[in-house]
Amino acid sequence: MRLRALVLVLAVGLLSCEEEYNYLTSVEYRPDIHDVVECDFSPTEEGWERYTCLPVFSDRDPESEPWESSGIGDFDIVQREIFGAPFYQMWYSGQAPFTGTEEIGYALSMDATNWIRHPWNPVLKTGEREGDFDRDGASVGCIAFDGRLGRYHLWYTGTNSEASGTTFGHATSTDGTLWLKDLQNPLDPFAGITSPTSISRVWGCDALYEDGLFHLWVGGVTRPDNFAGLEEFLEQTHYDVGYMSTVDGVNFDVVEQPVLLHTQHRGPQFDAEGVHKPSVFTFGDGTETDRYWMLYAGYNDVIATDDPGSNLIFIGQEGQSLGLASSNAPDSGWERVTDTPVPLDPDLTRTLDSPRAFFINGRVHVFFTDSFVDEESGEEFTGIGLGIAPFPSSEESQ
Amino acid sequence: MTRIALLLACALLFGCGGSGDSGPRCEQVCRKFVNVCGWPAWTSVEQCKRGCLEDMYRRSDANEVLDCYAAAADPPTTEAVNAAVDEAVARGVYDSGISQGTFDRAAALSQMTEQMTCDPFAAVQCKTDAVLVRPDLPLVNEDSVGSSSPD
Repeated sequence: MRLRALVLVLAVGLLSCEEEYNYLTSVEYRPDIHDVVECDFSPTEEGWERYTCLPVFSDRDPESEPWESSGIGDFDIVQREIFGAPFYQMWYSGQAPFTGTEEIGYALSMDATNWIRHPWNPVLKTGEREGDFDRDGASVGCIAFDGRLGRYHLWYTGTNSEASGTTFGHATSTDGTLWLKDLQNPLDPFAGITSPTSISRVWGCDALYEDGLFHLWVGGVTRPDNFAGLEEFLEQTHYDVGYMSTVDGVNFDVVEQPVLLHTQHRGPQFDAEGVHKPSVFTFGDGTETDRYWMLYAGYNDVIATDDPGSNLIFIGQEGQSLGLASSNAPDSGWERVTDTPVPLDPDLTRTLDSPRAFFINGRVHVFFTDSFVDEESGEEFTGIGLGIAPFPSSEESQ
Repeated sequence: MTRIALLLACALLFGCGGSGDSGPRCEQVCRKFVNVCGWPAWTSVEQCKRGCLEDMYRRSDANEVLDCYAAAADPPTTEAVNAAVDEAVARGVYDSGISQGTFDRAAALSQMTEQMTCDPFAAVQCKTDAVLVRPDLPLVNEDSVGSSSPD
């Protein structure tokens, strides 16, 4: 009996020797985020904790450069393990003052809270030629690391206000600083799809590399071709999460129907009007719990404003919170884990957005954007927050 | 059964099979990461070393990988700094200074030396390069090892 126990202990020890491993339970001797950060985490509800020194990253940081000094926008993070500790690589959108031009920077953290900006930022700049789809702006969509080829893939939105508007692009890099923009840009994953219930534009995405394939979950919009007035537009326009996959980063297999729907137009739920900005992480092999877990931003109010001059409708969201869903397949079967938001907003600011979630050593770690107030000037600004929770909780594992 | 247990025990004691020789080098690199660079990823050299031994498990190229990590912590050579400044110039990092006539190569070299000493970006690049080479030394217990893909 004692010998069998010894073998079991040793076998568990050997499991920890795997390269690019993925633990299903916490490992005591590996770094615990509580022990490596400077401030405390404050408990909220249901085991969730929110970091108390927020934001962990913003344009108000002393290291912020002029090109990003007017605001931090969408971002994505790749988490790598070095000597058993998580290193976080972040690519983020920064906005320049006066011009409002967005470009993409690279930063690194070894504890999730202290970030070092790359000295060569911005690492992905706007296009230089007149017709470039990203001539006026480039903003992070999502990024994934292909561990077989050692290559980062970035999907981003480019803006050319005089030509293509805001469209979708792809770039690759082997070091995270030198990006090669795809010659096929701009990309339209939804070209040729005629289903009226399919989403038609990418509004934020998350990418996951698995076995030679990139899964992409995209926030998108389904909208009517014709409508009479703003009320009909609001009723018939839906904001849901779709799925597509790609091997090469530019040619997509699109699942036409959204995989996670908003709850109910004018409903009471926190995600009644729309869901977007998905972030998916994997946990286990899908036998005892679902394999795919999605944090997303949901909102319960859409504000549409008609501009007769430009004949455009401008859309904004209010009442944003984060939700959690899971599935055993990447492209179907997504269900909400609970009907309530993830408790990372104790002050009920309803401004949480763009979650980025990771399973690390027995916990889910969630980065998100939130609204903060500058203590000196009183100005509101957007920065990146951080929360954690044991994972899976007993509720989630059922 | 006893033989299996002893084999497993030996593997663990020598730091996960193939990395048996990596112990001193892991400790050396971890002392630089934790004590010299002050990187906050680990709470102690010992914790870092344990993770290092795991990472070197089954790697026949452990010495080369550890050389890369050590170089990420050490001050760069003059040649490496010059090459990095040249590359930064080529990538347009100093464009504004060059166009305004204020670019100072000596200052750029000094700044680059500072950036390349205890450079966590270089450490991450070591990891990126390392995953291109699959660990090839024999598994001690083949059934117990799975795989995962980094996001």
